[in-house]
Amino acid sequence: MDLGLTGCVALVLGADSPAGRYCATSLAREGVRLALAGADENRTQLAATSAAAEGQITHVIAAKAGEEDLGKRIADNALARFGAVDIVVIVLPAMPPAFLDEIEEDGPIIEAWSVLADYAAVCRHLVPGMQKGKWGRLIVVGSTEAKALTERPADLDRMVVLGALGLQKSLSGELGPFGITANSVLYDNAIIGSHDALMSTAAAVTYLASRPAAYMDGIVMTVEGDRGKGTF
Amino acid sequence: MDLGLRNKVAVISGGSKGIGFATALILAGEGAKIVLAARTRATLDDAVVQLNKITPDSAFGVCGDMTELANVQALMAETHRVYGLVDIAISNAGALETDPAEGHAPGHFLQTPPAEFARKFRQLSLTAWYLAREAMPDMKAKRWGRILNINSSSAREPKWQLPHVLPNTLRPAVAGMHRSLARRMYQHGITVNNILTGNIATERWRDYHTWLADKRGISFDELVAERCKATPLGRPGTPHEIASYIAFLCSPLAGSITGQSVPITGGRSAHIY
Repeated sequence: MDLGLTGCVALVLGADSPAGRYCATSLAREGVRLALAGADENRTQLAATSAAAEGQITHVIAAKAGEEDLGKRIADNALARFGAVDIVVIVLPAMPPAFLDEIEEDGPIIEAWSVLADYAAVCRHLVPGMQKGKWGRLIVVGSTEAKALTERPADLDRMVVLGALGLQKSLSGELGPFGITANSVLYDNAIIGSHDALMSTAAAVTYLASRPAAYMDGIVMTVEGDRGKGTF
Repeated sequence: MDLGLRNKVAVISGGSKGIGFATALILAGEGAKIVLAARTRATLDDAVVQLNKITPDSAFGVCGDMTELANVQALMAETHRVYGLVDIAISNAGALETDPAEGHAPGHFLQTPPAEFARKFRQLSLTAWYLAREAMPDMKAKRWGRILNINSSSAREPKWQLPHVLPNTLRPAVAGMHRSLARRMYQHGITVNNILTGNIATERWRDYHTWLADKRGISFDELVAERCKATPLGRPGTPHEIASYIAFLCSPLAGSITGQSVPITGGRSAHIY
């Protein structure tokens, strides 16, 4: 199926994660040029090498968490390299395991919030270009912890992913008239280590980035094998 | 994206028009073998001719009413004879009729006689169940399969303000049925998913909106603009847009996606997930 992505530019945040690497490679296979940002430079470079093997131009951006104005710097860097960005993918980082009532200092909460703030800043700087072109894709990738409570100390993960999903829904409503869609892909932590689950996650992201997926907006696609509990 | 569907055998009920046929076109383009089922011979024959223009001898049709189990079994038997075991079963049969005299899927709870309830149950639920049930043995034998149902966004957000008690009841029931099947079938390499459509410009959608615009004394375009006000993308979707997602879910790439009911409504759905 022709996804109509040849020549597009994607910025992948969290490219140092396995899901980020698979997404980058999958997008590259469809002819997408890539700006890749990640906190771990070696792993981000690994994603770049993997995507470049598909014959695409890649550009690595160092992205240490906690840096002031990180989102703006990443967006500016990607724009400086490619001139425009059509697709933003963020693979949300795993937060430190914690139950909220056991957290004594506000550091972890601020760190969790900064993930959302950085993503919002990236969008703020790149969306105007998408609006001009009347086309864009904003895709969040996170864990299914957001959808159901588990016994795991994943309160921070849940907070970040739910915040991102809520933001996506708002972006969908606001930016839909400009042909910009905002969608999310959630994966189950228990299976995301497997090649099959990573492949499905990356394929879902790539499909949502595509032109045929133009009417899919404000949705969450879930990759969880048979582990899901809800009907919706 | 190479969907990896070459020579997969796909059976599509309600496949001669709308979303079913749009799906057939994409799957045929990916090299799949297509078997269409539909009630109207002329439309079915025309659809098969179009598919065979993409790839010669890649499609045939079986005329029949999929609310009858015997017809579904005959469809499977013919598929086995021509192409072999089924890999993909897509249920698109059982759309509620547009009745220009009475309106679209008419009926509040107290106005709907039990016989009508039973008839719609056959159309909306049994068609999907029969097709899945008859296709599952093939898929189990291959340890690979895809079962999909074209459902409606009303499965998740019933339109309580409209006289739609039948779809409001039956659409979620089918979603629940497929959710249960998904859990049981995953161990066999079979995924089961629902597609929740909303405001898709099919032929039936056009007929209904033409009728409704007429009834309200406004133009078709005015009505559509009004209906799309709450849709961020500001327009109805196309059958092709739904079909491309179905084709994606059919792919081996989507092997870890099962039990899902994703609304494709141009952003109109109110919920976060």
